[in-house]
Amino acid sequence: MFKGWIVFGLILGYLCLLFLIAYFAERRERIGKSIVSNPYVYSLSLAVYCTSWTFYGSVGKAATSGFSFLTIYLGPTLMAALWMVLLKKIIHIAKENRITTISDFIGARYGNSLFLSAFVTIVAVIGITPYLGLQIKAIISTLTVLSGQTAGIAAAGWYITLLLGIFAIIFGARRLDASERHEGLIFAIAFESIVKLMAFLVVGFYVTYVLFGGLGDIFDKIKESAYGDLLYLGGGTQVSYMEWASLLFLSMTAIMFLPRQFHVAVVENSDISHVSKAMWLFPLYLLIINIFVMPVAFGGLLLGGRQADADMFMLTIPMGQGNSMIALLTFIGGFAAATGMIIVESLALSTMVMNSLVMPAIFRFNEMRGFPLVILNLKRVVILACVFLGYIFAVSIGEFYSLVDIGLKSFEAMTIFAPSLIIGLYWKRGNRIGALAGISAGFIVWFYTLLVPAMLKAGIIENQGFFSMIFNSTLLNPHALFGLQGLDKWSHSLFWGLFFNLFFYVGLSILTRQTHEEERQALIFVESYAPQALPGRADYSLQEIEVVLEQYLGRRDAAGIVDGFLFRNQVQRENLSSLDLSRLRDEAMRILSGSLGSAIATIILEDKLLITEKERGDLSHSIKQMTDTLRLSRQELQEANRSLAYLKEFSENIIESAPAGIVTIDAAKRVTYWNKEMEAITGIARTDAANRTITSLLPWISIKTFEKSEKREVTLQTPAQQYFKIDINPFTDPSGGFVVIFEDITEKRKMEEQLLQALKLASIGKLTAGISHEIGNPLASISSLVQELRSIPAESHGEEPFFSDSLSTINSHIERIARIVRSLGDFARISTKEKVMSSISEILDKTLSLVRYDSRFRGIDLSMDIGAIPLMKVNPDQIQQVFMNLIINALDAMPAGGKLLIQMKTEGGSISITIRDTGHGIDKTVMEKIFDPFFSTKPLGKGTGLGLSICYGIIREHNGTIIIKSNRGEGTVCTIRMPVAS
Amino acid sequence: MKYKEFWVFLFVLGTLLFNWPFLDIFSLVLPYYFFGVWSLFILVVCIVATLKETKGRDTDV
Repeated sequence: MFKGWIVFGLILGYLCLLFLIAYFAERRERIGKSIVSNPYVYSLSLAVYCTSWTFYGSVGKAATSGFSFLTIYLGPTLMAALWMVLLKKIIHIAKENRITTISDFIGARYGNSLFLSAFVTIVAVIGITPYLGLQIKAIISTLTVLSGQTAGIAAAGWYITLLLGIFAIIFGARRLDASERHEGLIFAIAFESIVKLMAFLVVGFYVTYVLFGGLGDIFDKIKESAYGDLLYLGGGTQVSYMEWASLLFLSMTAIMFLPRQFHVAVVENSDISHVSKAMWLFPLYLLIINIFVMPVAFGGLLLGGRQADADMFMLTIPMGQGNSMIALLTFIGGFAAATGMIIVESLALSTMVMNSLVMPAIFRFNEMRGFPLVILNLKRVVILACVFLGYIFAVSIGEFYSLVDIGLKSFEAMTIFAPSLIIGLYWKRGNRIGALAGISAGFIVWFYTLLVPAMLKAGIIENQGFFSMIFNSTLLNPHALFGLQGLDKWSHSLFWGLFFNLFFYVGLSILTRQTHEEERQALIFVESYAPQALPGRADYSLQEIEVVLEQYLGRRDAAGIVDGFLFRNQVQRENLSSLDLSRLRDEAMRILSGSLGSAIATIILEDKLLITEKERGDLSHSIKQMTDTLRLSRQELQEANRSLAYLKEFSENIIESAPAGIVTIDAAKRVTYWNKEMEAITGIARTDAANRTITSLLPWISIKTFEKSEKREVTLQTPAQQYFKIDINPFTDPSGGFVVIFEDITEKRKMEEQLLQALKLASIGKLTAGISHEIGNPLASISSLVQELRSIPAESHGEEPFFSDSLSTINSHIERIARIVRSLGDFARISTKEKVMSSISEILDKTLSLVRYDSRFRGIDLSMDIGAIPLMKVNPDQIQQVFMNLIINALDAMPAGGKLLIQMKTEGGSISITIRDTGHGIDKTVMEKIFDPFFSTKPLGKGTGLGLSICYGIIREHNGTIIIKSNRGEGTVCTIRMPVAS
Repeated sequence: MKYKEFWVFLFVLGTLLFNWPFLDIFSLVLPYYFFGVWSLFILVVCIVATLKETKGRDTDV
């Protein structure tokens, strides 16, 4: 046993040491040699999670329910794996938006709602109070155990609470700069983490290896003892798998949303990259500190300790063995665990209370003299109030519950924030009404299922009358809400809390609309990594910023902030650029945000620095409109970007896979795009073609081709005897340029020539039957005359008049045959594609001279009406083929004879050729198909179906038109028009 | 698997490993199972986070 004053002196000594350590760290920070800004101190500061609950409560829990205490450390270990995704995003948002508390964070997410922020603060204060009480209860209990007396302990507890409150004030509320990192405090917390870890390991080692024969020895003994079932989980043991899973979930949310964890992990984070090391260093710390929990718990039981007193095994074991030094060390370890939590938690809670409850009520009194000191003192009072709230809980309700039980109530309270915060980070539709309703529902369930039974147990509420009726009803029993039985109290509360929380949050978010401010904030949070669209304003002076800071922080601090800024940035007061002013304004905003909350800081800076209230209102409205427009524009832009990207890809695919060469050129005829097919056609790579003039790449194209800015189509022949059909389409853009499409028609040309030739041969074939008669008759006549001439004696040849007549006849017949054969030969020769100046009427004559020999022509009454036709640049072979096809068709239509009228005249700038017959005509039903390739009305084998199709192609190539009008039984009229210019 | 997806996967895997039915399967050796899997989990997180950190630093350079 130790005397009370010794223990009290020890506490004072430890706190002084802590103060010196913190002072040292702050001094190093001031001279620019920070020893805090590194991942190791950051990880150790996160270990503020391990409180006196870990130090004493875990041993108590292990002694009563075995492994279940591990859930409190496995949950954070698992959650740490998500830090790279979740914590980094939260830190990023908090830093970008100058957020310093979890209530600010939730309020800012839902439209900078002060009301929601205030509500979250109230829930957090109520939820965390038991946890603060737990620490104070642990300190009071350990004091009792250590001193061995109960008299005066409550007063000592009161003094120690006050001391801790003062310590929290020294580190957290010496000045109004909560947005600044408290390097001294964090270093002290990191030091405390080492102290509690070392103390735990020393006690663990002492119990395991000094009092017992090692881990194996303790576990073997406990297995054989009455406490053997502590080594198992699940059915039939102290802890069901359901309770295990619930506790695991509770601890996962606690590590993220406990105000002190948010403070050290988010607000005090100096470098976001520290998270990647902390995500394994912090779980490693948890693993190490838990190694000896079970050995100490089992050791205590094996040494005769009672399960009910297991919370104090860490102290009672060394004291029972007479080892006072280890007992003192344990006390210091436990005290370190409790103080760290109390200081950081009260600081975090006080910042929440100040920002969300106090400042909104008083910030308009800024003109009051000494206003900064008022704020500072209020914050100090709030810190003390938070600490003493915990003390009241410890001495009123706390004594009825174990440390773990109290801690879990607070953990459960933190799950209330999980849906609104986590879902709100990824779901834009979550709104303020949904969040308020969800948090309210969660809080009511938590209060009713966990806190009300605690009050009942403590006698604050009596289970009589109205309360008895409610608590014992089937539906409203706090341990079996709505008749749900079979769950432990943690799982039961968690189930209903989360159910209603999610139900109202999601349901009302879907059913109600967001305000514009909410939409804007949702976008900022959900798309936190998107670049910030609105830069800070800089249209204010240094003096204006200084005045605002003075009003809220005091003249000295304001001057210190401004001077510090000028010194750090090596700039003079007189030479501040607008960028410097913008940065100073941001710094002022950060400092005020930390002290007063981001919402209030924004209002103050807007009020003070910019404009009058009315102007501010107008400006606010305009900014809102602009922000809305920007937000919408941004969304539309994103949509449009996606569509554009898709269209670009789609178009490129089409262009690249098109079987034609596609080139774009600018006004200077330089190539700006060159597709794959162009590479194949020309053998010039895209990279080589870029930025070169098209005429230098393809010299066979004349520069004149691109002189006129109009859509055109030309056919060009390359020196390599390739033919290209080139479509030239000018850009509508005023900057000029063309899209040029190259189609290699060399093969097509060859095929056309071959087809034309084949058609000629077909025509000759058709003519052969008729012409054979023409050749046969003179041949028969020649033959009979030759027979006659042979019968005349040779000596009388010169005397017979018959002889000379016969020779004359033979000669004329031979000439006729020769003409026919020559005509056929002329027609059959391979034609060229060249256009030359020709007489259309001569071409018609040539055609008729050939057709005339056809026997079918004998019954035809041919009429000609040929006007004065100028010479035209045409391909004579092709035009002759057209005439041949049309006349043969006319002959075929008049097998029994008829009239054929051919007219040719000039009309304006073109010539008109009409071929009219009196044949059987064409059925109306097939008129639409007559120019289709392979369509024929003639019997099978009589026609190829290509005649009219070829005619159509040839006339189109001469820029002309061909129209056929016909009625069944009324003959056919075919009219060709061609421009003389062609 | 993307970097962020890996962490979500690891979280889900860890949650599964520290719940039923695995706890039931290893019920006879729970102390070894807890501290073994716990250590392994931390080791995996450490390796992946360190590798990524080094890679990121190299990229930055």
